[in-house]
Amino acid sequence: MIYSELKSKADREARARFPRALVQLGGCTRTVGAGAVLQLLQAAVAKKGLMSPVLVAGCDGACHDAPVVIIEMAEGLTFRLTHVGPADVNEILSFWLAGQAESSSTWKGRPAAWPLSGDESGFWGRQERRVMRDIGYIDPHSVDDYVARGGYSTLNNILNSMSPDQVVDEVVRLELRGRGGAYFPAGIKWRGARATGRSPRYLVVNAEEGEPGIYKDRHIMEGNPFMLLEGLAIAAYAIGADKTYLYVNGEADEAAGRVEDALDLARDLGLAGDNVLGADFNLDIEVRRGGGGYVLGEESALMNSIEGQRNVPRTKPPFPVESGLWGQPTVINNVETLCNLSMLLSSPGADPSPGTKLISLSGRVQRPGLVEVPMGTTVRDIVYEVGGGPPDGYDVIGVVAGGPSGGLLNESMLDVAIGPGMLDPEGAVLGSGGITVFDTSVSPVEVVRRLAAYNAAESCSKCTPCREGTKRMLDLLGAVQRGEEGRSGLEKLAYLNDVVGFGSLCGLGQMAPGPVRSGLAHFREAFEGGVDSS
Amino acid sequence: MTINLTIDGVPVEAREGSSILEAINASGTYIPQLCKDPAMPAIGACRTCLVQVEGRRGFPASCHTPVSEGMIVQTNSPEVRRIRQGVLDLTLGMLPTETPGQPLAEHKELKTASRFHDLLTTGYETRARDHTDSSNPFFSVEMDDCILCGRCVEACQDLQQIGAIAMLGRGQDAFIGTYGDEPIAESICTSCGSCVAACPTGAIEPKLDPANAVKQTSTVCPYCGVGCGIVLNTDSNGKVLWVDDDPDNQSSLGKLCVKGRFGVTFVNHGDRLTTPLIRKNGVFTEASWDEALDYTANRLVEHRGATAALASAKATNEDGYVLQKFMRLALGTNSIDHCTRLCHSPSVEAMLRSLGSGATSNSYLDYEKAGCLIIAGCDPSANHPVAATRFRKAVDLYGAKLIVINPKRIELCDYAYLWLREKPGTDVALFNGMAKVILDEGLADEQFVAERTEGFEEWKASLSQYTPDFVESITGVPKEQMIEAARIYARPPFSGSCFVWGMGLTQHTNGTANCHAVLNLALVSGQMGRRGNGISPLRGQNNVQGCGDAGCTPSNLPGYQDLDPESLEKFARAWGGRLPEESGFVVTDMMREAEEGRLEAMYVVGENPLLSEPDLRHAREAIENLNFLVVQDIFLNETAEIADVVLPATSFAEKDGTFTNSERRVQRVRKAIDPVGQSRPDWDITSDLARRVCRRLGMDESQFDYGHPKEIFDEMAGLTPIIAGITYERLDAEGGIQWPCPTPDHPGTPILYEDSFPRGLGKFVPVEQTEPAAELPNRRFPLILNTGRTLYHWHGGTITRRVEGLVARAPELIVTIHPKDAKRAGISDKEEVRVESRRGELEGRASVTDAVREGEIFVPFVKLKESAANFLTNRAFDPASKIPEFKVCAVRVEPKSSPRKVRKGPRPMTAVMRP
Repeated sequence: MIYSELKSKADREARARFPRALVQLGGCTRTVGAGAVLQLLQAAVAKKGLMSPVLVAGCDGACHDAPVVIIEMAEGLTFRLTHVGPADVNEILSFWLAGQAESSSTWKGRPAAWPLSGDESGFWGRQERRVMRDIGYIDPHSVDDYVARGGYSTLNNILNSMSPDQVVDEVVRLELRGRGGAYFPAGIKWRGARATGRSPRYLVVNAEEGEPGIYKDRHIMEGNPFMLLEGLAIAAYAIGADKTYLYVNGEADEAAGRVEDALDLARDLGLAGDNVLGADFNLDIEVRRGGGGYVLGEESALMNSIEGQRNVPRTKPPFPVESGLWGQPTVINNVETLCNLSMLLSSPGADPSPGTKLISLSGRVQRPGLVEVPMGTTVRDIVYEVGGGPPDGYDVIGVVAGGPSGGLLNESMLDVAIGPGMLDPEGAVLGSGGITVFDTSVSPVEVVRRLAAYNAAESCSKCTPCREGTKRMLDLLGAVQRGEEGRSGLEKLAYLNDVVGFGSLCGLGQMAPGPVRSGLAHFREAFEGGVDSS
Repeated sequence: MTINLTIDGVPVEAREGSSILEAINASGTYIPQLCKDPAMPAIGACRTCLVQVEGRRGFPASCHTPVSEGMIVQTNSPEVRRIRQGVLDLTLGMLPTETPGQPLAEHKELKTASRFHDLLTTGYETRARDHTDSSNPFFSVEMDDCILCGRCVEACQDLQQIGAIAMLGRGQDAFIGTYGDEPIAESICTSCGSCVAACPTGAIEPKLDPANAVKQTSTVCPYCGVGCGIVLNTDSNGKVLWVDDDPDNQSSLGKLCVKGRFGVTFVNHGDRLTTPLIRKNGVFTEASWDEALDYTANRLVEHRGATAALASAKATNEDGYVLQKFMRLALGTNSIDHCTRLCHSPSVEAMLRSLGSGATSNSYLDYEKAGCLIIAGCDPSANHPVAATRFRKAVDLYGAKLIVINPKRIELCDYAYLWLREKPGTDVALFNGMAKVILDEGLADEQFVAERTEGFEEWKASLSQYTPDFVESITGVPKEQMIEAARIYARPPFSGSCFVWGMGLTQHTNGTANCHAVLNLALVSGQMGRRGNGISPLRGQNNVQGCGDAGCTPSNLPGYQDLDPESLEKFARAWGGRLPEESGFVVTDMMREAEEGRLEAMYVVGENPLLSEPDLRHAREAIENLNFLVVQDIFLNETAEIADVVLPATSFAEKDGTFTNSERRVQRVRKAIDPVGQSRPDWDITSDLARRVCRRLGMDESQFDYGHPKEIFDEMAGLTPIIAGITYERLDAEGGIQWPCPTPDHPGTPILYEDSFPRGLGKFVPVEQTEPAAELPNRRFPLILNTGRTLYHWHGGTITRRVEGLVARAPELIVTIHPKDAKRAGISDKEEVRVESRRGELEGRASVTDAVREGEIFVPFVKLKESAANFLTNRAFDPASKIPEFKVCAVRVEPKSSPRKVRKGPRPMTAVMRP
């Protein structure tokens, strides 16, 4: 199908879609009853004999509001219903039919007109929702909502007016950086792969996202899979990829399912496969699922996994752009990176901008969730403004930034602005964008020990410093906690930090000491509290 | 391009693309490098080769960091030592045999590394990983000593392409194990020992302790025709303790199989012949060399004119050259032959007729460059294991399509794109059918056919009846498979097609026809003379190529020079005497001539016809009919047992010389130990004997006055154009050289027939499918016996039965039988069985499996526990090449416990085949 047909069909559908309900159902809201809400609502609507659809949508990121139901009454008249429980279904139905809730209801999540107004300093107001803009408010199982809101116009323009090299040059100029954690300029990678002149070339979408406390890529795939498919199409076109592997975490069933459904649809519509949008461009995509293990997020281990090898990292150099899958030039991009593409390239000639970052905000805050903020936002703003700070009665003493490969910041350090690379030389990084807030009710030593335990358990076994060192660190931390180690224990830990950090083969091993190193630096008293006070 | 860098303040040069570690090693500086095998790509796991590079953050691992111009490397600064020491300390913490504070035990490379860092002990509480596996007779695995560096896995997987062991588990719980965590002996491990060689700590350790080796000698494996480089590690008593692979050997590239690695200890076996023996009054008596050689010389002179010799394809080119010179010059006969008659004579016959030369056209390297490999009638995993690694690599790494043609399931079937399972003896129909498909579908290489061949139209006309349906009805191969095989062979997915074959095509009464059918396929598809294609008869013995090259055949002088006046004159001039002009007897003729009394004496060197001939009962009758038999060998084999004189020869480990392998590569054999007992090298014994014979005949004995094999080689090279450019000096400096190598500055020839064939045009030779075999099953003998070999033994087993570990791996004959046949015969798996043919019987143990076709059994021809398949086989032969039909005879199988049926019936049938 050519773009104009796609767009006119989508616009037609968009005009005819009211009224409808969207239940924000994802891998995590299922655990708080969103699945039951969906079923009951669908049954109730059917029982009333209504023709209006009750659809599944992704979550809009406000975990604290879940389960959320969106009701679109008419053009420009949308309501967001929060904290919906199975018991609230009849109430929702009557609201839908009457346009107002019963005054006697016990339902917590009063409907609010969407978009919200008057929340400039709160959860929504401090965000800059670009990638997240439509997630939760569109139907991921149909391309129409996406196209009606501008989807695929960028790809169409590119296919019609830009050569692959021009796309690469533009992405280099716009300074788009990878959102997987390393913030390497995506355009430079692409250029490197093209410069080899070798084929076949591969594009790999890294949707492994294995670390605890990070849930951005899953959300995107659940809520707007076509945005990913458009982004990877642009990348595949620019690179000249003969094949694209979309590598989805083995536990992210919901995300993988929606991407696969979207892919089937895309193939039917000519958005994947041969002659995409009628152009001389073929897009061959295969979805692969991860076999389990944090290390799979490491790109060379991921490639080994695709090849059917043991999931351990490879030596570098050569880098994947020169010698990746089966020794061929391979570009590996993160989901969030690719999702930035269509917006970034939609207005030609735009100024380079650091853009936004998705942050998985969790821990002791009032409004945990998946948020999108401009680069440069301070951690403090994310914790206190977006997240609303801790609930009453709790005092934040620090955050874990960057997950088990990141580090700890104490409360006094929260004014650091997020950006590519280190947030703190002792270990905290932006990474793939996780901020977990902890308070006085938990010992920083225990926080560090748990992260270390994760790193030890997830060490792939290939290289000695990581495999052996992370375990020795964990043992030492336990001994420190139990007060069995003197000051020399902390010195041993510091030495191990260097051995593991400098000695390990891959990024995961090199970053594994981060929690310990930053913990020792920023929560020294807590560690010394475990040491004999003499 | 050369890169200049500085290592510890010293400027050094390195090749562009090499690693810092390579530059460090080349500079003579030591740093630890536990997971880096010098011949393999970097693994990057042990992290003990960390260095400091000026201007670069951290401490890169030098094994996988490339050098760059102007780089300044510190290998031993306090900063890098601090980190490396920490890594080593963590490594030592894995070895629970060490207790904190106690000195370290011996751990090979790990010990060197830790001493370098003054680490005499580890600061860590060590952890036990109780896991011992000593199921393999050659080596044991002690996980407690393992540092999980991954070298053994790399050796098994990437070097040998076996994949028997792998890293299992995750994190600290990782260990080296097999599929299903079975003992290694139960796994697909082939005992090649590459893991043992790779292990830097001794966690995988040979059971024979190599610690006392005092000498390393680089030489060539004495087993199969692949010709792998080996390094013998010997102690001061001349005992072989351990065999290293040789990464510099271009044929083997650092790979070995179990026989090469662990199978050469026969050299020191107590059964070695140590003195000459003369049979006096029916019993062997020890004799001096003078006595034995004088006696032998007298008897040979007595029977001059009715003598023949068997040369040894296990001995060197020099040994063979001297022997044929002796027979021709001194004893005046061309009756010299060797075991090629029993293996590839049909291939050689067919190749000589069609192409004009009887050797493998290409190189092993081409196997890895090919887009299609046809492996027909052979089981390389068992018989040419190191060649098999290349086939597996071609499929796994490079995506070649492998087509196996074999009635029996072989290991390579696991890698095969197609497996054509033809009925025994129907290969001509199969190949003719493929050729017809190629022609009918327009897949022929028309340009090649037009420019390089002759006889095309006549041959094409001969194929008319071989339609797919007809071929299916003859061969039992579904026509779709046959058609697809033809398409892939003619038009491989990339590069060219290699056709590789073995005894399964040759050891038939229609063996030569089979080979012609193969050559016709190669000619019509143009699959010769380029990188990635070619025709490859896999040669059996280590020097079967060289033995023929050296002239040990009844119809050719050295270098396949004909017995034409010109050549005869050349040799006569060089040797100072007349040479016989008539062709001599081939092996099969010799047996007949001996039986009928026309052949009176035989000189058998390193051969054992009483185990390798078909129908052994008959062969023995023939040999016993000789007036005089002299056997020269390293062991008292079955033939030697009935000899008049036995002369003790040295093994390959005790002499200098050259072997020529399957890819025509002439390689140096080097003396590692002194001769065992009074044994002498074959060339030396033959020369001595020849001088004594010459003396008695009044001939010039100085023709056999050789002081060193080098002199023999130089004489041979001077008379043999195909090796004229080769010298010991070149072989020592350059490694093996592939003939033809006509001049001293010629680099050797990896690929034959690039522009033309030795006979000019390649000739299509029409061949017809005849009776599949001379003896087919009937009611009394309802099954077909197929013979072959097995990984853990060598041919008849004379040497491998003298290697304890090999016998442990394969102690008895395995009779492979199809479940339906086993059920009919009342045989269960692993039961002891008796196999009988019209000529003899054997006992073995049943393996009930559908690896063989219904109606066929397989027994290797090794002799184990006094049972040998050749008591059963048929001496019917292929008229063109005179090869016996080892691959088909009719047998019956019964449980050993069942009463023996009274033997009766006709004598063996003789060959019936239209020429």
